Amino acid sequence: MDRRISCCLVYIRNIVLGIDINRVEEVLLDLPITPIPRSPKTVAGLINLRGQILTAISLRRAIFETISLERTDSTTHVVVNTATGLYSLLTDRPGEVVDIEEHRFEPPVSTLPSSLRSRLFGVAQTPFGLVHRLNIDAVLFGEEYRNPLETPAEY
Amino acid sequence: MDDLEEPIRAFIEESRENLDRVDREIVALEQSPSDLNLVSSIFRTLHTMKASCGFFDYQKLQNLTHVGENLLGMIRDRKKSFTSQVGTLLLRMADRIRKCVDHIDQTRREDDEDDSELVSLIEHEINRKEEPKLLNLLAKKIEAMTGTSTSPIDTSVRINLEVLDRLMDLVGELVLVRNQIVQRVEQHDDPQLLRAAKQLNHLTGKLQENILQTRMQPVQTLWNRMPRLVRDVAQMCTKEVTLKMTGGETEIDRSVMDAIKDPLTHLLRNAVDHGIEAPEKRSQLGKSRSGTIHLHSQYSNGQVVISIRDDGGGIAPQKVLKRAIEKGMISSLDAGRMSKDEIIQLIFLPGFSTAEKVSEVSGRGVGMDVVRSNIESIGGVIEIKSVENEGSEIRLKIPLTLAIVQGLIVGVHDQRMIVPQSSLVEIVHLDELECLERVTQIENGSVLQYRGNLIPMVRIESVLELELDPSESVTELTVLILQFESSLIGLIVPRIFDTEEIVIKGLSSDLTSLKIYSGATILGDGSIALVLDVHQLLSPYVFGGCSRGVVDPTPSDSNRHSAEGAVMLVESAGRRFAIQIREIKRMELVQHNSIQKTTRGEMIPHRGAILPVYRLGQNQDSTGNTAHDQSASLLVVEANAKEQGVLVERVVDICPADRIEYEDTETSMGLVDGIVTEFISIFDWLSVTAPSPNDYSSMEG
Repeated sequence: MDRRISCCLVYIRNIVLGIDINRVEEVLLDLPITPIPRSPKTVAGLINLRGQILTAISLRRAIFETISLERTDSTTHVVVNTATGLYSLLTDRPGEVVDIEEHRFEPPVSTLPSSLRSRLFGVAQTPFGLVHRLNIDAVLFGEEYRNPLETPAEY
Repeated sequence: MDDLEEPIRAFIEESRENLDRVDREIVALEQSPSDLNLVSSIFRTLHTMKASCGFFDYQKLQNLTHVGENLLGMIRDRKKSFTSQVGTLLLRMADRIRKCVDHIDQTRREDDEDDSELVSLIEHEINRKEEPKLLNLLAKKIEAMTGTSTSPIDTSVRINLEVLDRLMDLVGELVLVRNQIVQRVEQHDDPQLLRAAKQLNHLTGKLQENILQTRMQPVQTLWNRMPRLVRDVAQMCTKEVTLKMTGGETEIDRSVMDAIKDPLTHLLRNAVDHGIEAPEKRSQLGKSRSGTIHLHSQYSNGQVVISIRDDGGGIAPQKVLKRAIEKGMISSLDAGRMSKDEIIQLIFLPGFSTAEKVSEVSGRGVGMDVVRSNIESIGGVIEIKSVENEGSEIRLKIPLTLAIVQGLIVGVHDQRMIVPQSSLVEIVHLDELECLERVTQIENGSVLQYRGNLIPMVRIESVLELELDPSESVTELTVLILQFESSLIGLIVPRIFDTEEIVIKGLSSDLTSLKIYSGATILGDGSIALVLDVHQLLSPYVFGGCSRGVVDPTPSDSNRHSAEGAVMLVESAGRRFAIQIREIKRMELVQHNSIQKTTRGEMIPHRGAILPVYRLGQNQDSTGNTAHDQSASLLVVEANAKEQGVLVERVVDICPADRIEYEDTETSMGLVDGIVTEFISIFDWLSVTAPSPNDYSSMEG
C-alpha cells in the first residue's frame, strides 16, 4: 500500500512548494512584520501571533537566492512547528492541501538552483504542477540538518 | 517505569531540599550541640528520606540514610553526644547522598560508587562507647520535648516551573487584550461597558500581580546552603567565622535566585578567605577571635538589596594599587590621581587578585569581574565599601524579577525598541548651542563632554547598521547616557517615548545568537519592540581608556602607555600621534588667532582664565606655519590640579586598543590603519616641554 503525503501547497512566484501538513499549524494572511536590524538575511522579522512572538523566515531569501526580494500584497505566513518551537515561513500566496502518493516524488532535477535542491525531499508531477516538497528543517536550520526518518526511503 | 517518572522527580526535588536543610541544621548543631530539637529534626528528615529510598528501591541511599539515622538516634537518646567529628561524618554522608541523587536525576539509577568505607566509619562511630555524661533528668525533659514535634501543617503545593511560565505568558497576553479593549471602550458612550472594562482592567492587574507572586521564593532557600559553605571554607583556611543571616524572608523571583547563587557563593568565600583574618591576628588587633559575616537582604525602592558585611581586614588601598600597577592594569601616573574609593573599584578588573598566594579557596584571579558581570547581566548593581582593618561591605542591588523590566521606548524609523532602564543613567538633550560646546566630531563618530568626562557617542542607526532616520535632527541631539561597567557611553536616538513595564519574551535561537537583543516584547498596541542588549551591542564602542576597565591581556610593564585601552589619534606638524584617551580631560575647537604670545610661552584665554598652550610635535619657539584664521583642536589636560592645553591640528579618530596593528614598545612607534603613529604620553611630553616643568613623576608615590 502506498503512503500518501498530505502537502499544503504554497507559491513563490509560479513555483509550487509543498509543506508536509503535519508540520503546518496555521496559515495566516497579512500580519505586520517587525524587522530585526542586523539579523541574517533570511530572517524577515518578528510577528505577533496572539501574544506569541515568532520569527518569520522569508522563503524567497532562504531558498531562491537569485529571485528579487520584492514583497507581494498577498504575502502569506505559514506557521510551522519545529523541535524548537513555532516559526513562520513567508510565501507569496497560499494554495490548496493535496494528497500525493509517496512514490511519485523523485529526486529534484539538477537544473534547480542548489540552494533549493538541498532543501527538498523530492519533486512530484501533479495536476497542480511540479510540487517541490520542502524539508523545512533544512530551510530553517541549515542544509546539513536532515531528519533521516522523514527522508523518503527510495527514489 | 514511566508511571514512576513523576514521583521520582518529586523525590529528587524533595531530597535536595531535605539535604540543604540537613546541612544547615548540622552546622547549627555544631554551634549548639545540645539542641535536641535540631537533632530530632535531622533524624526525622533522614527517616523520611530512608522511607522514600526504600519505596524506589535505592539500596545504597537506604543504607546510608539508615546508618545516619541510627547515629542520630543515639544522640537523640543521649547515648552519644554530638561532636564535631560526628558533624563532619554526617556532612560527608549528606554530600554522598547529594551526589547519588544527582546521578539519579540524570540516569534514574544510583551511581556505582563504593560507600562501604563511609558506612563503616559511621557504624564505628555508633559503636564507640562513651561514658554517659548527661543527667538522666535532663534526658527525660528532652524526651518530653521531642515528643511534641513541631512539624508545620502543609499548605503548599508543588508546581512545575513550566506551568508557571505558561501562566505568566497567558497573563501577559491577557494584559495586551485588556489594553486594546480599554482603549476602544473609551471611544464609546456606554457607561456599563466602561464599568465592565474598568473591572477587567483591575482584575487583570491583580491576576498578573498574583501570578508573579507565585514565582517568588524567600531568599531563605538560598541562605540555607550558606552556613555549610562558610563552615567548610573557614575550616579549610583555619579561620573562625560566625555567619549571621537576616532578612531571609525577602522574596525574589526564581530566575533571579538562580542568577545570584554563584556570585553570592563567591562573595561569601571571598569574605572568609580574604576578609576575615586568622584568629591569632584578630586577637592581636584586639578583635574577637571569631570573625562575623553578616548576610542581610531587604526590599528597597522596588529592588532587593543583599549585603554581605564582614568585620575582617578590609581592603588595603595601597596593596590594591600596587597589584594593579604590577599587573599593568593602570599606570603609576593614574595611580597618583585616584581616590581611595576609585582604587577599591579596581578589584573589579578582570584578572585582579590580591591574595598573597593562590589558595584552594580563592585567589585565582577570576572573581570579582565575573561576579560583577553576572550581577549586571540581570540588571543589577554591585557596590563595595571597605575600611582597612575594620571590614568590608558588598551590596548587591538586584531586580525582584527578570520577567518584567522597566524599559525606555525609543523610536528609530517607524520601529520602536526598548532600552532597559537598569543601564540608563540619564537622558541628555543637547540643543544646537550645547552641541557646539560639548560635542566634538571626530572622523568616525563624536565625543561628548559629560560631567567632566569625555564619553564616546554613537548613533543607534550605526550600531544597528540602519540608514540614518530622516526625521532625526542633525543639530539637536537626544543622547541616552548608559552605564557600561565602570564607564559611560552615549547612545544617540532619534526619538524617545515613555518608560514602561515590559514583559520580556525570548527570541528563537538563530536570533539570540546575534547577541544584540535580549528579547522582544509586545507593546500596548500589539506591535513588537525588540529589547536591546546594551552591553553586547555597545561594547565595541566603549573607550577602554576612560573606564580603566578594559585591560589588554598581555600587559607590558616596560612601557606604561602601551596596551591600555583606547587612544585618540591626532595629527600635528605632519605627524600622526596616538594619545591615551584617559589623559585628556576635555577637547575644544579653537581659532589659531586666539592664541597669544607671552614671555612665558603661548597662552589662550579659556573659561575666564589663561591656559598655557603647547603645540604638539612642534618647536615651541616657532608658531608654526599654519594660517592664523584656521582652527585647531585644543586638548585640555589636567595634572596636579592645573590645566594645560595641547594644540593639535586635527583629531582623526578614537581608536580602540584592538585596532592597533602593531606597537613597538621600545621606540613607542606603532601602526594604526597602516599609518605609522607615535604613541606618546601627554604627561611625559608636557613634563619635558613645559618651561617650568612640574615633576609629574613625583606624584607617583
